[in-house]
Amino acid sequence: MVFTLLQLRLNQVRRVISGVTWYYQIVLLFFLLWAVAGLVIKASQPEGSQSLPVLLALILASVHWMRPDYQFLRNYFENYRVLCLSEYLILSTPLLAGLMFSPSWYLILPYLIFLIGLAYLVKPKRKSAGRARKLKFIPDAYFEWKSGIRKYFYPMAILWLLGLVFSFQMGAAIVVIFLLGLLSLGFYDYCEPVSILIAPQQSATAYLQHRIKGLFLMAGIFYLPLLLLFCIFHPTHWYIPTVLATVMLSYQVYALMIKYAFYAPQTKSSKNTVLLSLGALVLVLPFILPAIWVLTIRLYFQSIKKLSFYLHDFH
Amino acid sequence: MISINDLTLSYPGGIPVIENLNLTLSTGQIHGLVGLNGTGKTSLLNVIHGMLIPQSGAILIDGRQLTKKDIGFLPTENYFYPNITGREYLQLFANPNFDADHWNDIFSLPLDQTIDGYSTGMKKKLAILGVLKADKPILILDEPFNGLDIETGRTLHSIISILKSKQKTIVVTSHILDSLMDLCDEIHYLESGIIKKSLQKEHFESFKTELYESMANKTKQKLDTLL
Repeated sequence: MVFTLLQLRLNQVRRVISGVTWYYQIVLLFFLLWAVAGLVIKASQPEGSQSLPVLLALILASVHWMRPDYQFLRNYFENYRVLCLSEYLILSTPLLAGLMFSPSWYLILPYLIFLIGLAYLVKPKRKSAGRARKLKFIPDAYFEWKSGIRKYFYPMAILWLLGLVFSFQMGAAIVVIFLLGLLSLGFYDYCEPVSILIAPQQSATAYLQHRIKGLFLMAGIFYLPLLLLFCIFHPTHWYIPTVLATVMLSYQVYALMIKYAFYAPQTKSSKNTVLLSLGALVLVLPFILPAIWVLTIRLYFQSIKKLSFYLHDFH
Repeated sequence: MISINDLTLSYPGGIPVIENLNLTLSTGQIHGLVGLNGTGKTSLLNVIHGMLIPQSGAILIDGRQLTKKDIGFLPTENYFYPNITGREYLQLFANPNFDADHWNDIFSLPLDQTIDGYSTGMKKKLAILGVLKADKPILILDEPFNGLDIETGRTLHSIISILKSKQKTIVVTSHILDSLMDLCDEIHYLESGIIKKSLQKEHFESFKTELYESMANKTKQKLDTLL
């Protein structure tokens, strides 16, 4: 049964990849191989072997905590815990392979115990029907931000406050801007239903520009205080967080454009995931930023064309 | 008056869903659309709402092209954005004169809770409030009674009647024929993408008897061959 479910998961991945053109597939494959090889090499080195298990354990814990299919698996499959554990083990393979050749090989056992504990003891959080946090500082029109911040309220609030409090440390603001940017990227992976698209009765251009404006406004609320404090404490290095914030904002606008260029009501477009992964290259190779800008402009016009199908009556 | 002229819709692969359909919907009336599953009811409503582009034909309102600006649409399935509250959903509709709390007296929805925690019936009620807030002259309601309890069903029935008195043109589909007969001024029977019959209120009962008898005969014939 577990093997069948893993095969199903593999088919899902294959379906996502086959949804994009061949040259994107090649770049994606290259990117994946590069990431896996990087993980194995880093994990086999003394400095990486200490931090990477902790980092991956945290990522897998948050994936487990948030996973939306847990209830489904629990209802229909007896071995749902084994399936979760198998998935986490497969994702951890590069790390474990690297750890085997590192001085910290002894971390393999506690890491495996952690994964078993995660799969067998931790129940992911369930949706509660309680009164929702109001978040009045976010205009109702920017529903992606209301939804996203409500979902990640504590991690985002804690990160942001830590960034402010430790702004005298040079790395604090940089790490926080990077992590907040990554978290808020997820706000754009769900395409709103047509009823929400049509509700403001705007043209495709006006609707899209409103979404971009919202992104700049909301990201500004988070980034600006961090940038300001960084510039006060480290005035000579003002350009570091400024460049990073520009990279993160560019990537977020790119993500927004991908969403609307391939808009399909109430779906997570498979192309989104793949193109987003390709855009993620800018986070490791910031000099390709102009290429992202060119792609974003192209996707902007594609988005207007796509949205015009639904909104042409509101010109 | 809405005129649907020579409408033809095919899905990819050339499978015809609606063929040369002609229909006139009078303003300020409630029109029922009846048909078995797969006869093209929802496709027709989606064409009227502009979500599907027909291969040929035109939909006009008082001589001009019908647009989304004219229509409030309640789909069969209600989809919302995750982690937003009912109140935030309603705020997205551009109508400053709509008092959500006042209208919510009818449905008693927990507007300050996220929609993810709503039941199917509550989601339907919220979608209805959205359509009411949009305040359009034409309302298209696809299976509006699905998922509603008896009391809310009756309330919706009354709301639709009140909207009619405000000169709204309403198109409703439902599989609950009695409910439609009670509500509508005119019922259109759709079969294989063609309007087979358009009936006025006085002919509803005879149509129902005829329809049920024909269905019973068809079922009996099928069962006779099987058993």
